[in-house]
Amino acid sequence: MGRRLTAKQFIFYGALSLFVVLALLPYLWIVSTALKDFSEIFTIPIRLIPRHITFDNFKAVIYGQMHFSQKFMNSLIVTIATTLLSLVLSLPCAYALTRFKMKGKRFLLQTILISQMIPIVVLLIPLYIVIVKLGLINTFSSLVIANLTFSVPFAVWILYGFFTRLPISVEESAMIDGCSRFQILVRIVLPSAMPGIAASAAYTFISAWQEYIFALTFIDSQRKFTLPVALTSYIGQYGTQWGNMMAASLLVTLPVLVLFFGVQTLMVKGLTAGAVKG
Amino acid sequence: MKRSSEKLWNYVWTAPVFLTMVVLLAYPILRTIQLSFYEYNLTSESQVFIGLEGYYKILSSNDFYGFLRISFIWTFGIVVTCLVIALPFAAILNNEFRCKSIMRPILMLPWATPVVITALTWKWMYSPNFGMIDYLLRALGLGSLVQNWLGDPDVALFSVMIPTIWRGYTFGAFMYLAAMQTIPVNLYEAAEVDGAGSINKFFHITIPGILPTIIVVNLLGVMWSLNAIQNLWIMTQGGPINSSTTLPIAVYKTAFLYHRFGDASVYGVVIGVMMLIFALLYIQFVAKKGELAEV
Repeated sequence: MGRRLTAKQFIFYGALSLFVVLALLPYLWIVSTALKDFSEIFTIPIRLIPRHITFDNFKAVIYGQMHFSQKFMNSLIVTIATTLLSLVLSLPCAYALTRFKMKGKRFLLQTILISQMIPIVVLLIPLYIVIVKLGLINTFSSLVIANLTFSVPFAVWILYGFFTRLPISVEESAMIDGCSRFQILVRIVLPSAMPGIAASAAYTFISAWQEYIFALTFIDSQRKFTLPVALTSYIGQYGTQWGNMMAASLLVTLPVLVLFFGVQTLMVKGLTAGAVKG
Repeated sequence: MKRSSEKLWNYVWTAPVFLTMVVLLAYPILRTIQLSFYEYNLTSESQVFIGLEGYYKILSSNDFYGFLRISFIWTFGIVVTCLVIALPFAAILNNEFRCKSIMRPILMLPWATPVVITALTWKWMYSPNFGMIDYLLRALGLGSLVQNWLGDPDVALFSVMIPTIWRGYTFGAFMYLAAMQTIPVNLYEAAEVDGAGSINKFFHITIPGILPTIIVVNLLGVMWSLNAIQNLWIMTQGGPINSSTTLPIAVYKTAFLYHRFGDASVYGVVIGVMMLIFALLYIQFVAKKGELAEV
């Protein structure tokens, strides 16, 4: 009996470590490459732990021809604008959907749910034509507008999940005390819905930060590239500079990981409430 | 009088989202459908009506069926593999073990990784001679498995599927885990009394218990993978010789490399119709689970 248990445990921990290795392997490779100097990256046999650790790749990325800080700012502007705008648009809607009796509510909710499945390439062509006509090619506004196509429905959906779970009784007594709907939203609902708002803001930030297809299509000028497009554009140009690429990749990924795990509990709550209520 | 104006006021709250959806989602969809009946030239802005000719041309071409086949292999390959990996993974995490709280974020890492970074990293990992994959395979004595991962038309599609699966299975796994935790413990205890082993319990209690979640996650998975173009575009651009060109990649290439917006829209409409079928199924299941029933 005892032996069988250990065999079981052996399989259990074996499988678990396999998953851990699988999850970590690409990261080990990113970090390892980023910390190697140029010649060691192309040395056989490959060593996961560099013979000598150098931060030259990071220096090259930050001060070099990649203009990393410029691309970083571009990404930051687009991402923050997208996040703020989608919150401002979605908050009143999500609140109204949970508190008011309205015709067409179910239809709107279903549309919001389905709209998250619309293939981006289907939207891309007409949006591109409109953006060319409006003279918005090569502008950050074009990216912010296009990002709203995925960020608004998602934000409404997450916020809707959170608002449904807020107790209405406090709001009712506030209303009896003569507060307007708007006052109630600002003074009572928003503070107590902060976790939900933070979760949807974080998610919007993460997806706008890594948005690639719109940025690839709407931006021609190198100066205005966002980080994802800037990084991929260097594949051909500096095809062999994998050390720089991996260092830059780490710098792009870090903010995402911080946000993701920082609000992970909130997001898991929000995601499970929105997508699949267990 | 006051009531009806109040009612109207209620709709004002939803107006910004409603307008966003009309302008940014409804209009583009209708415009794509319209464009599919036209030959459109962006520079001269000339638009010539050709009716169903575009559909006829594309639906009777071999290319189209090639792209369709690749889309199916890509989508179901990813979804099925993710399911097969995610289920045992979730079952493992559903046990109590040491360092579980440290494990969780590590195991979630792939899902948190930006898609672009996944694509770049794996492209480097696949790199011949100095990439990690070839090196690992040789080190494990599996040197005969070394391929020209992204350069061989027979292999490229599968090579791009692997990082997509690497990133994708975590989402399902954590959804399944959440669902597993809602299964009452006494069901398992009763089964143990009847002498059921863990494999038995997994197939007769766990799987049926989380079936609704499995269906929802996989419908989402089908839609996400069918639409996913980032990994493919960054790693192979649909090549070599179209061997990894799924329908969405075909849309992108036709529109933005060959500037044939009408043809691209035809592909777009085909994807839209396929997606609609899955989206309606999805709505059906989500509604059944009670999410929309309370509305």
